Amino acid sequence: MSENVLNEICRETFEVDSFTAKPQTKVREVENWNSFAHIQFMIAIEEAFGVEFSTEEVQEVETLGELGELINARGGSFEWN
Amino acid sequence: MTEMLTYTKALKQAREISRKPEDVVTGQSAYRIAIGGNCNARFLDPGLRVSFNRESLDTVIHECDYDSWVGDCLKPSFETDAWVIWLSTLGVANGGVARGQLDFIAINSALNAAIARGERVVVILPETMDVALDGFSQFSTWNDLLRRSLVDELPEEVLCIDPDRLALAGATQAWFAPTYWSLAKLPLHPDVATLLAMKAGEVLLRSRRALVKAVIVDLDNTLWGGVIGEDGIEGIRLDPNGDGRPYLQLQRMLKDLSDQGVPLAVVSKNNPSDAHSPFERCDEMILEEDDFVDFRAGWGSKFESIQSIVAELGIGMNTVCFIDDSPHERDEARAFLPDLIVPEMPENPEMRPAALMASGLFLRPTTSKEDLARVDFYKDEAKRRQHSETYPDWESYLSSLEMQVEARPISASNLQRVASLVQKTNQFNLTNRRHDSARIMAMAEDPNWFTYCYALNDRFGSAGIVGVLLAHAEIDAVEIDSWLLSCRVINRQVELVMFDHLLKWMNDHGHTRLSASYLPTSQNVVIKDLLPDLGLRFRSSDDTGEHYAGEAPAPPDYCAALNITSTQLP
Repeated sequence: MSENVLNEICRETFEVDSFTAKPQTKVREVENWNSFAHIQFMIAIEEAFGVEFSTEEVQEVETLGELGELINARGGSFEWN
Repeated sequence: MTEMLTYTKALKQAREISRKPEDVVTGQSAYRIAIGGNCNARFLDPGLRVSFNRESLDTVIHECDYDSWVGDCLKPSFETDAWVIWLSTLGVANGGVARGQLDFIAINSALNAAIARGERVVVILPETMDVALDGFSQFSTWNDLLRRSLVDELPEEVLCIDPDRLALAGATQAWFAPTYWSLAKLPLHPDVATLLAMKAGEVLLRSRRALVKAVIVDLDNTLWGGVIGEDGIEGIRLDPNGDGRPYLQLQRMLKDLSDQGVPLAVVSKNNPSDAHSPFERCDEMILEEDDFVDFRAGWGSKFESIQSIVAELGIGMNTVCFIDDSPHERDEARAFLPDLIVPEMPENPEMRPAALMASGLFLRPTTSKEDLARVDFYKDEAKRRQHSETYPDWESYLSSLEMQVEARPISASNLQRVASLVQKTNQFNLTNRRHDSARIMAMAEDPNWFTYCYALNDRFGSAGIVGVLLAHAEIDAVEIDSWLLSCRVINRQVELVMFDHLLKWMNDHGHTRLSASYLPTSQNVVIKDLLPDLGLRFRSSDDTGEHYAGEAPAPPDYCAALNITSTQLP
């Protein structure tokens, strides 16, 4: 479930037709990534999972796996299928 | 009304909009908005797009580079219709690290330059910072001074949006978001940015076109507590210090609307003498009989009276608001008059004034003098109508009106009224081209353009400027670009006088051929035969309209008593 939400957020934020998130996927290597889209991405994640990140967390997160862990650490609920 | 959308949802909708451009009404050019400020105004983009799209308008948004909007405003390398500038407290405070100042001279030079070009300006005022909430800290004092001095300094024409007001309205839980300043120079939570953008959009939309052009109101339990026919003068509730207060507050709001130029009318199920009596005998009443352009007290169905009043006002049913405390009357009105605006009214009268305000129906960010004069015109019109009942035929009636049409060259002195007509007229509008003031002014200054507006006076008063005719001359042929007439004066031959004026001008300047196109819309059916009736020859038809061209026809016949005068350019 939460993985589907993540896929949808990636698709919509980065405007790609399809996306399959993997723990090792690097956020900055996603197609159409740029620094503004990165902020938009984190805003969407915060809303979808009901969490709030710190400045460092937003700037330093590298992989989607790390993002998942971050969501769980911040009181949200994320699980890989 | 500003509905709550999160930033992410607004972004998604904005992207869907740009993928489906055919949702937009064709023939309307996109509204161009430039955004900037002392913070990252880019976050306003989706909210602005969504608010305009809800009224079927396309937007083109130019994002000024961070903090460079002043230069862009003074010397733009692009054209725009409006500016939305976010002057945030956090920007002036450099993120809360210092307490800086705004450069009022630069800001005002820039904004005045935009205003002089006829562009609308919306400014988002400095928010109260999180560390200023205590009310007594140095930040607090500085924050208050910053807001006050900016409001004092800004030019009158600027439309200001106060973020703190949105916080009071409680539209969103998320508000302060210092992390987003660090990450992206965003002064408040992205959802607040979206709320501000939707508000800015609403203000721009409403300053182009008010939603409500007239209000029809019930009496019993709406303007006073109780039923006059049963409770009598002694029994109705009008005590401002007691249970009459909410009704009087509603009266005050309606009076304010009337002062702003919105005609009011009464439709009430009452004997006429009962209905009039509180106005005659109760000192507490805020509204007076003179505030209404029409007063219908009787026992017939309300929707018939509403229909009749709206027909006389000569405006669209979809611009009229009906206020009645009775759910039954509201439902009946909605059933018979689906286009009529019938807001829900809370059962508790105490909640009604705020609910009406929050509906956004009465938002009118600018008032021009024409609206005030219009209310007087409607009252003159009522006198005119009574007059028409005694004449045997249309021609002698027209003669008796002693109409005079004054042709005035379009210039800065009448530009605002002309632009207003160009943007608002729907029925007698030949080509539906919504030129803005800047374009109209450019046409007026070009010697190859015929640019006139027409004012109408008659025995009962002045209707002001009611018509606009714009035509472009090329070598020997003249093409009509725009031809508009206020629907209040349709069927009085004013258009014939305008056409005659154009023909004379063509003759004076050696133009012998005339072309014009009629672009049919759902609202201008009234003039579908105008061009053929004037003697213009039909040539072709395509999706840009019906095209007519040929030798200039003979001048039209019209009532001999109608005469035209011309004013010269000063």
